[in-house]
Amino acid sequence: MKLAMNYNNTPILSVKDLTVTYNKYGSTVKALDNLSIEPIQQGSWAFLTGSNGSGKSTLFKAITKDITNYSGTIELNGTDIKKISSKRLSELVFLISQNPLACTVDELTVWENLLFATNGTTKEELEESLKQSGLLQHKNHIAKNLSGGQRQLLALQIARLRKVKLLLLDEPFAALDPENADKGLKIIKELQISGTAIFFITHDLELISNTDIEHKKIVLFGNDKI
Amino acid sequence: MDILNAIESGFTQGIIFYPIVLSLALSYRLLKFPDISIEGTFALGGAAFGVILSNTNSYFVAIPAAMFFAAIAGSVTALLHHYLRINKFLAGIIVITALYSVIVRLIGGSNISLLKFNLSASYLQITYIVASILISLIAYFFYSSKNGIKIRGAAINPTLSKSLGHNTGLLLVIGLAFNNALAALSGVYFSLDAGFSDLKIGQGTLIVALAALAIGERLVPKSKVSILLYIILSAAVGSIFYQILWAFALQLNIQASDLKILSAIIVVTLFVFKRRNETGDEL
Repeated sequence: MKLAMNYNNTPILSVKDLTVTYNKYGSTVKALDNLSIEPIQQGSWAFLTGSNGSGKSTLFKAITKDITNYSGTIELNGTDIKKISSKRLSELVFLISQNPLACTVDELTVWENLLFATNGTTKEELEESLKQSGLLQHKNHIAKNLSGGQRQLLALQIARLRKVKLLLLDEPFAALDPENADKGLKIIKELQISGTAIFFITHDLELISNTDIEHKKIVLFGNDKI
Repeated sequence: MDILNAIESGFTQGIIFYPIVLSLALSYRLLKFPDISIEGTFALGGAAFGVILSNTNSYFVAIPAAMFFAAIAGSVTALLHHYLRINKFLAGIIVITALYSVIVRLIGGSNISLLKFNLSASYLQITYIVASILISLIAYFFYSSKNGIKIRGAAINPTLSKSLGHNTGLLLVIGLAFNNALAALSGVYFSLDAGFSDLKIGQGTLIVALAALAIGERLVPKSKVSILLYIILSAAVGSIFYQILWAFALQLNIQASDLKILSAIIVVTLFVFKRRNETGDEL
């Protein structure tokens, strides 16, 4: 099946004939079946929605090379990801999952989390990013003591400071209150404007329809597969 | 009971065991890696120091060399865990077991005497104190540096670290190498103080370090300082306080062999008490 998305020029991500299978209780299950996505361009925004178990997160795992046993091709910036080193991949892509614990380090302070995850950023840039997400007063608090929403905002700031080309969001606002979700959305919009392609898994149809952005596209995963 | 004598000897022993308590605290609390191989690297430190000192007559060669060998052993623990996916405890047990043979080979007998290098007790005490302050500062600046933060992050959340393009395995190797070098320094102190080194000096040091850390964590106020400073202070205060308690116990004619079970009881009691007071903390 082919999904057409007509964005502006530079392609960041394209997926061709992707099939992911795994063994479950001795039988082979297809998590993704011959999936193709036409190139997602720089500065574009694609929502990915569909039923649980339809393979959305599997697609993200394949893009981040957490799953490598698949057929088909995934290209990032025009290069097959199998030929991209882990270090280079980390410069291109950042994944924020629905679990707030996954994208930050519990025992590091907010400030240390930024130092841990970014390179070549100035103190002023780090402080500005914390100010923007309302975390400046928590600078010296360990991440474990932040709320789930605050941790997701911190993860978004990490993505912003890393200047990645593609931001993968797997239901990042699932545990956020409306106020923090709005803050998060604002940061994501800024990332998109600065040229980052946003690939956003969500079940929140209201969020999709209310998000006022250019180049918005929706990829619908069917009941079983794409 | 001679209170002053107990405090003085407890203080000296506390300083001697401080590096291994610090080593345990840094691995266990800061890196979330319960590295039991320190029991082996403590003995390795003492043995390597004894052998090298006997051959070179140079403290400046023997001490760094002993710490270096322990760092290698610590690296092996990290490599076993990270690259061969061996459980953290099992990796430690494997390294301790292997070190037994290494130490026997190194010493070439049951023990090695250091009595000919008889340094005055007061000189040793001052050296221990200065060295302990120095290693505390080094540990603090090492783990609060950008690379130190990367080590901590990689050890606690290796999945995230990997996705950020860090060499997670190498970072863990550096962390455990550093921590085990500290454990070896305790072995060096111990051998100097005792005037010998043998295979058995490491036995029971892990539980002593755990008990000291458990006590230190109860005495140092956690909310007042950063987590790193809290860990270093807990190790220092706990080590000294525990050894003073030990010195009092010995003056009460409690058998030295019975102190091991007392240490075990202290660890369980304090850690369970800690868990009940701080929700979500594991032992």
